[in-house]
Amino acid sequence: MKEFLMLIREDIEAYSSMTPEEMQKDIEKHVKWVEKLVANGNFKGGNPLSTEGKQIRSGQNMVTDGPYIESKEGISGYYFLLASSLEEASKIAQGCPSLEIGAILEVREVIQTGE
Amino acid sequence: MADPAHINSIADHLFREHSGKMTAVLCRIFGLQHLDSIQDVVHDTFLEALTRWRYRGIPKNPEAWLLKVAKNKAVNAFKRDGKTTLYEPSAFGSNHQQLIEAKLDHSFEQQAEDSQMRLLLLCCHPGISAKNQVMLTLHILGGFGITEIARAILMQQEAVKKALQRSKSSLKAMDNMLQTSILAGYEKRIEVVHTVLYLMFNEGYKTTQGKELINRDLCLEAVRLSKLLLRKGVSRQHETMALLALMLFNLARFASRITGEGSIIELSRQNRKLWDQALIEKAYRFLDDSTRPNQLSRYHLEAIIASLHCAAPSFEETDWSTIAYLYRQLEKITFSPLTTLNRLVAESYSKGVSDSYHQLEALMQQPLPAQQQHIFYAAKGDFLRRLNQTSEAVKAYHLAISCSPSPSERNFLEDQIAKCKKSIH
Repeated sequence: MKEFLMLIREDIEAYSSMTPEEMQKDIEKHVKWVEKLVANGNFKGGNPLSTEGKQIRSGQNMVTDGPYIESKEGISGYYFLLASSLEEASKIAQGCPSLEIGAILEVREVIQTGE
Repeated sequence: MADPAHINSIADHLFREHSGKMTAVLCRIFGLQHLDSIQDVVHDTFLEALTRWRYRGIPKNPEAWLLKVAKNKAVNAFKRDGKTTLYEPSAFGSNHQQLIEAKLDHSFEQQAEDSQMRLLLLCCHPGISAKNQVMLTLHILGGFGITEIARAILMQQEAVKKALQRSKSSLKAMDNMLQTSILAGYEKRIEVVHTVLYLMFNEGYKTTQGKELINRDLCLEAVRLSKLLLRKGVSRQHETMALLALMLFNLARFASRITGEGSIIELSRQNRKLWDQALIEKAYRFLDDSTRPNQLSRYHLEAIIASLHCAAPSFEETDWSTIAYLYRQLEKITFSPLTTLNRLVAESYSKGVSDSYHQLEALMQQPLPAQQQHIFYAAKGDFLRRLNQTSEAVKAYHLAISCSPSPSERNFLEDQIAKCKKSIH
């Protein structure tokens, strides 16, 4: 099994207009999805990211607010998936409920550098 | 990391119900003038749950988790804004944070229902119009968002938003009921609460709004608040029971009224096996308990009528003469032409169509509520069809369609026309 990083990029402000019922439904979908990943042995971990952040660039000594530059879109969280190939990992990612509310997912293989 | 070994779940509509509960308790502690900040705190709490639970799974006790987070957020928000004006004079000078936390701990378990009851009475303030009372109650106590309310009661989102803003500012201005220790003097208000819950239920129950889940949610919220009223209400308890019985009898038939495609099924063609017997039994229990001599409200009469429909093994075996008698009693209370129409429909089965038809003709000489006009034409069409005056029936159905019914009603009326035309040829 190889390890893949799945980044979730989405409109972070979109959630502020969700109703309590919609939020509950969204959570339930995600929990079901993660349960399935765990059951199939495809889940290694994951965490949400705070919406606050800084951007640091070299050379100009510049630090700007926000993980995002021009849009409200930002990386809201990440998962580590286990799969045998990039194809399989992207297939798994296609089931992520965040896609239903407009998220863009990026799946990248983690290159193991140890040993 | 998510804990795969422990899979918890969230109770249906927990967020929605908890939203009203937390709002009520926080309003009671911090004051209704901070309603907007309080709603923000509650919303942020759910947002935090959304962010964390997605990854970590649902905590063992979701309610306790939400409460704890809301508590911290409220304390921080009010400390940050310097809004620490608690009602009791003793609040001043002492350690605010500790006091707020103590109040929250105490309030939540013991006073959540009491706070919701008080907020319900406030939302039903007679100074706010009936429709706005319904929207306000749904929004504040039911945790319904603007889009959900707009979808459920067929209004533009912008209109709902404006109406809510207006109602909320009137609400903030009348902040006192949350502070008094007793609710005496508000008995009269219960009557308004009954009307609001009745309207809320009917908005959800209307087949005109299609089969969207949100409509059933409206009905369930009306039931939940009626039960709260029953536990906490200060008066008119027997009316509350009758209202609950009425809601449950109707709710039992919810699913059988609409096809999979969302079109209306008339009572005569509903599959009675789909009626929820457990709900009907519960409704009977409330109806039995609601009965008292010399106390017969419109809810009692309507609940008994609904019970007779539920008790009938088939449409043909319905006790139409008793139903007609009950509608006659109801006419004396409601003075509504729609009640009279219902009586005429019942009599058309118990006494004969011809008599009902003539009375309907007379009734329709009076001014009728514009939004209900199509219902009278549809009934006229039905009477004429049963009197074998098919081409006249088609005319009446066309008139009903011209009164701008909802899409599902229009489909129903077009079906009736098609059936009539088939019988002519």
